[in-house]
Amino acid sequence: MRRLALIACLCLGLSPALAEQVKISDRVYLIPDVKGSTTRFEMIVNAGSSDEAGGNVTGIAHYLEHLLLVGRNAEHAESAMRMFGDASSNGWTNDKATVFLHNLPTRPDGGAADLEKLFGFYSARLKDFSITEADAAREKNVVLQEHDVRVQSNPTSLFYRDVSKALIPDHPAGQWTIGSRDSIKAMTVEQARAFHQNWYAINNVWFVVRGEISPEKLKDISDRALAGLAPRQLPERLKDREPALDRAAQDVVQISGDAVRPLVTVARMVHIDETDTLKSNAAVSLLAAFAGGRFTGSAYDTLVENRRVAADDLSVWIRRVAPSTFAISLASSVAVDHTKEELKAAMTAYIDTLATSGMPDDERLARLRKRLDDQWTRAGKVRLQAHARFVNWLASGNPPGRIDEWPHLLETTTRHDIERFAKGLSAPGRQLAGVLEPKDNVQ
Amino acid sequence: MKRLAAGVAFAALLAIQPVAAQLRVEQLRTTTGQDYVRVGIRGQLQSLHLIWRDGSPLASEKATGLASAVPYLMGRGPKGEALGELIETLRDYQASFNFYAGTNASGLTFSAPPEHFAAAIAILKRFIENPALPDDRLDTYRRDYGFRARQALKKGDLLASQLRYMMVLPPGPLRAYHMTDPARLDPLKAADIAQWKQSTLLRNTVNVVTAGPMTHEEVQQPINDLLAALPVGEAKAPPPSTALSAADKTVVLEQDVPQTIVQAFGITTVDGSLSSLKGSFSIQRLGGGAQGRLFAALRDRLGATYGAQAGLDALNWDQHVFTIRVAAEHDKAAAAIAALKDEYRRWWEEGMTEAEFNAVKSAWQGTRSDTRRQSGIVASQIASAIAKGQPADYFKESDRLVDGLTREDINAYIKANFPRELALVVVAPKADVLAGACVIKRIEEAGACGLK
Repeated sequence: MRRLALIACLCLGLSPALAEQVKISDRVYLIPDVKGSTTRFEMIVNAGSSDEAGGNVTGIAHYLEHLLLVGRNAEHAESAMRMFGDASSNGWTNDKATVFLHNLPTRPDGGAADLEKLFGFYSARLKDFSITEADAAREKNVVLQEHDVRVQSNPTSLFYRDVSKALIPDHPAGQWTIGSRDSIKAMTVEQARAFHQNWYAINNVWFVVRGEISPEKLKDISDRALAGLAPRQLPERLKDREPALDRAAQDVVQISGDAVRPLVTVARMVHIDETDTLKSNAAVSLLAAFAGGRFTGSAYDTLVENRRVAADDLSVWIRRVAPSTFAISLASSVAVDHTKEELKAAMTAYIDTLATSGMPDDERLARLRKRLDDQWTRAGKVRLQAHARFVNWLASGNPPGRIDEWPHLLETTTRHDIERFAKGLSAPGRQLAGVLEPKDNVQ
Repeated sequence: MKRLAAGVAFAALLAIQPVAAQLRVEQLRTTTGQDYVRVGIRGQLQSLHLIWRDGSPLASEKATGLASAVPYLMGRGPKGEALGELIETLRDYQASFNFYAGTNASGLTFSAPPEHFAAAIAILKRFIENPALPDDRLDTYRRDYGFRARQALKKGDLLASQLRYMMVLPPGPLRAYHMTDPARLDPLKAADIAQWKQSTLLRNTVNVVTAGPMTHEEVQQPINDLLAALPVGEAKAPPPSTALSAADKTVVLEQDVPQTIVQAFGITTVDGSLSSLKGSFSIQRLGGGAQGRLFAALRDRLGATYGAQAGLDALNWDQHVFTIRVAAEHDKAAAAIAALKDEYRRWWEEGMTEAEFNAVKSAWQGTRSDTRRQSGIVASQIASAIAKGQPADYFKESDRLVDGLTREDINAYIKANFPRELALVVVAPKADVLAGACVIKRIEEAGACGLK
């Protein structure tokens, strides 16, 4: 009824429209768009590299994404990446999700025929997928080339991958989605089928469509396509376990002929009790917006502008790793006329004092709350952004029904809530330092 | 009944607010006599683009560093103010801006929500009126730039690009502009950026374009306020033109790289006029990602690469080099090069197929709506068009051109504007990937291949 009332108000021009997501059925959502808009289709599988067997990331979740997009199936005899001659199609995989997406041009029928085909195709993909041996082998090589483009060709990528693994050695959160050269070469189609069987179930996927198609039409299309798909019991999610914090972490030192100046990172992982993931995310978002910003007291202000030990490529990450487990990391090149030891010490000191000098005062906290709220509200009014935001929300494993809570969560996150995280991160935890040293040690 | 009501209401929603088939472009004048172009677009952001015909980075080889130094140093904020706090205030306003200095134009892009537009402009005005331009920060940036450039020069793709530029461009400012040089910023002082600002950012030579939901009455005063910070002066002469060299060599640089890097390229006569859209159109199914022939040949059939790109690299507004880029597995590199050359030859000789042509036309026509809802893209596209001497009604004219295209047009355009043969630069561990090539082991040896 609320949706009807909103639509009625829009027709009467009573208030500016928010681009809300319309629930079509349990697993299908529509971001309504205006006549003449393009259509975007996404199937979001709530399974990514963190869900690979035994918590050991080989790249199989990502490989499966490739296989589904290039395989020849009954519903479409050619690669799904070329399902429509005038559309663009792609996929992506991270630790939490695998997403298949298609961008379709404006159509006279509002995209109905295209969506009929897409829902039919992906409904069938939730049952099985077809791939020839030759195509599977070729695609594995393509994934290897992708790895080389993204990782092997880049000394900093190789470095950060090792740092991540050293910080979190016993949990999939410490491993990169694409895997390694060796693990990619060893992947099999059988492993991909096993991952598919475990996770590609109707109760583990979402469909999000943005376009001018009506809710009724979309419901008709999706209900017919998805009928008969039964939910399945899902395996335990290893990413929902807490990684160990009791063992000391080994520092990472790499020497590379492809590096020209030292790169330093300091990372710390800690346990902080939490009762609600979204409440934690709200507090972390506010803390990260301050620490990662340019305010007086931020990491950039402290390390780049004032102490000048870090170069201007400084990056700051504060994130939730697993239940009740959070990490902070700082990384930058060493500034000219300073040493890596100075930078390491300065980064460690910044983290150690996060709860005092790294905390926003009340005025800045109010500004950050308002800013994040403004961004959220504004994105909701722009259909292209509302769509992207909703997809990311679902792909992060968040329940769709709670997306509207986000502004309230930000608003009600208190200084005490943020301090709890800052204190937790600045307390002793599992910490390591990493240095990528140039072979020539040129400074 | 409930379903019928929802359906009717929904249909009414769509009827009220369709995506505009055409943007309404107005040529207006502010109360202080400043001519500007306004495009009304529903949305959350008002975008502003100020553009000046200019070629300051090409005035000499020493001046090419302006392209990097201008955005950095102009972004350091006004004298006596805390930059970090200013940046955070702009973030509170959801506002952003950027200065640039390119081969044919210098400019300023800005966007903010309507309710914060005037306040954010007031901050931007202080950046322009009284810039700090600190020499010590430029010094730090110069050294950081040098490190980043040396780091980048370790990568095969950039090394290939260096050789490509050496092949098509004679020594001079345009080549220096495009090539990566760790010492690029060494000759520059803060006074050079000040001089660029004083001589380029002029009130009487600017083209102003704004797009977004603000009306003429709402937007003109902030525009007046901003332009009041600019002096009056003489228009600059366009940069000198550069005659391109023939791209007719095959070079292999032996380097220990994880993948074989291939760049196949040639000089085109694709210019900066509206008809250059035909050039972009024509390559959409040679490159064009998964839809393209190169993808099918090199990835689908050979499994040699993750992707192959084909594009028109703009040396400046009027000169473009067509380039195919591939990073291929070493063992399949020779086959990939052969396939790439074969696909290009067929494309050049036979042109686009009917199916390819229809698909690209459908895609271009059918995705216009997405672009035209984004005020930043609209403002920048129109600003560039005006600066190039094209109509302010760029989108209408480009739509007319695309809608009227035929396959025969495109295929004739290919033959008339793209080279028949491509030059090749390859970076690989072993030179035998490409028989008959001139082989070097370091960029500095390029002279051995006839490259200066």
